[in-house]
Amino acid sequence: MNDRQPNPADGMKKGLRPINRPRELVVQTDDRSRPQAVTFVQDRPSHRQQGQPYQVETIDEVWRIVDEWWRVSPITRTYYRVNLDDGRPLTLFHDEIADTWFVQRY
Amino acid sequence: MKIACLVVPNFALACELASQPGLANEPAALADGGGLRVAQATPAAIRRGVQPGMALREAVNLCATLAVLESHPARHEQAATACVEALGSVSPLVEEAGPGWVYADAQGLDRLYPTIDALDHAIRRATPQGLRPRLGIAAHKFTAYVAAHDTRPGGTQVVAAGDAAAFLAPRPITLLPLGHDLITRMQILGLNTLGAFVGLPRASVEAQFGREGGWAWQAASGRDTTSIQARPYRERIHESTEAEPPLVSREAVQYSMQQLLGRVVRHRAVQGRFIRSLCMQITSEDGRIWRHEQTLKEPSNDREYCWRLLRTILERAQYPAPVGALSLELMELSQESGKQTVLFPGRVRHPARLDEMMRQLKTRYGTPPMKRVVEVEPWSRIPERRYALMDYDP
Repeated sequence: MNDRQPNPADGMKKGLRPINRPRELVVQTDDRSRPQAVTFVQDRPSHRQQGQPYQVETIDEVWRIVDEWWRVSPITRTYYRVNLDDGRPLTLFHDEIADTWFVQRY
Repeated sequence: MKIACLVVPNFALACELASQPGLANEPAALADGGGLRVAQATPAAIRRGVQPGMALREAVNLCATLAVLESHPARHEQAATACVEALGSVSPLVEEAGPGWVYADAQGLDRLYPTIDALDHAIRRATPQGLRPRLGIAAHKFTAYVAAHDTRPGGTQVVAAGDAAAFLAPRPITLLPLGHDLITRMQILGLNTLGAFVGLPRASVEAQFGREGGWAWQAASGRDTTSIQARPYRERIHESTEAEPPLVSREAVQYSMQQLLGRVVRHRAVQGRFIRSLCMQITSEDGRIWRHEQTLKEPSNDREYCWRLLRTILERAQYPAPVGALSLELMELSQESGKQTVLFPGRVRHPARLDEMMRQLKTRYGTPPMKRVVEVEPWSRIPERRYALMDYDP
């Protein structure tokens, strides 16, 4: 896995702290590269041990953002709005350049 | 269903010719906004090789007697409004499809206008003189439009419901109100008339041209099902003034607008009510228009508040030329003005006390301990770019 992380402070004014930064998580994908199960690595869900995967029940929406291709760190993300097996809705994205998955409110 | 369609082809040119009727049958061309190219031309000019889009210098070389007319957008807008009002005077359901292209639902007006001649006469009486509008009357919108387009200037053509398909069949496919690309594709496929188009099965047309093609097929077969999209009613209180000689200083424009505001808020309809939106229009002496519509953050009937807002806009405005006329319109008047109050008034700290507290905390800890949320790029597609935290540093 590439160690490149999206830099949320890109383009922000000095002294500003961006809100709603993406948080990394581990995602198992199916043969079409769509999320099948997610494992949180930074936060701790209350009723399940950290590191235990949540199954993706449904994928409601998929969209892609390709932006800032003129910059040193361009943005190429595929977002998925999914429902987990505990009923929780979640928005994930796959950073296609870093090949890393993140969770982020959209 | 009975639809009347009023069409004035080459509307801008027709408006200019209305003030110079002697040129109607002569070679004449309307210059575009930049005054460099031909925007529209009379049939006599087109017969001599003048084409829209052509450089004016080239057009004059082709036709030495060509009369070049300057465009006056204010005049065009006035005429377009008059066309809408002309049909509005005979029917409550009127749709403006474009400047000089208006539909009216004439269903159920038989008692007012028992014959087509009576309806025609009523519309023409209300239409501005000199525009020579063409009128089409049919059972459906598209058929009425083609009937209007097909008749002579100032003429009326009626198409009976049963004759619509036969009437439309020989007409060119370019009459369909579709995009240029779609029409070009149809022509490449050899579909040059509406009859040839209707000869295809509808399913094939939809497969090739999509939903738009399906609608076009139905319209071309004389069964256009679209109804009149009537304009919503908006109450407007309006005041205008003419400046003679034209105003050349910004201060003079501001004083005139302030005077208009004073007049318009004294209208009986405004008393005890609140203004939600204002529209200023300034017409230059050469007929160009500057317009600004401002919606107030909250409804107000405070004249001073409205004036402060308008003055700020006028101070920064760039007028196209010396000002010949000004108008001010109040729109969307409401009966009440609501103000969002605080749910827990006792708990809200006075901003000055909060600022003082922040200064003390900053002195103690070195950095401001509180942050405020600021919009950075709220339109951004990238979520983390939209909002950020900034030091609360009074």
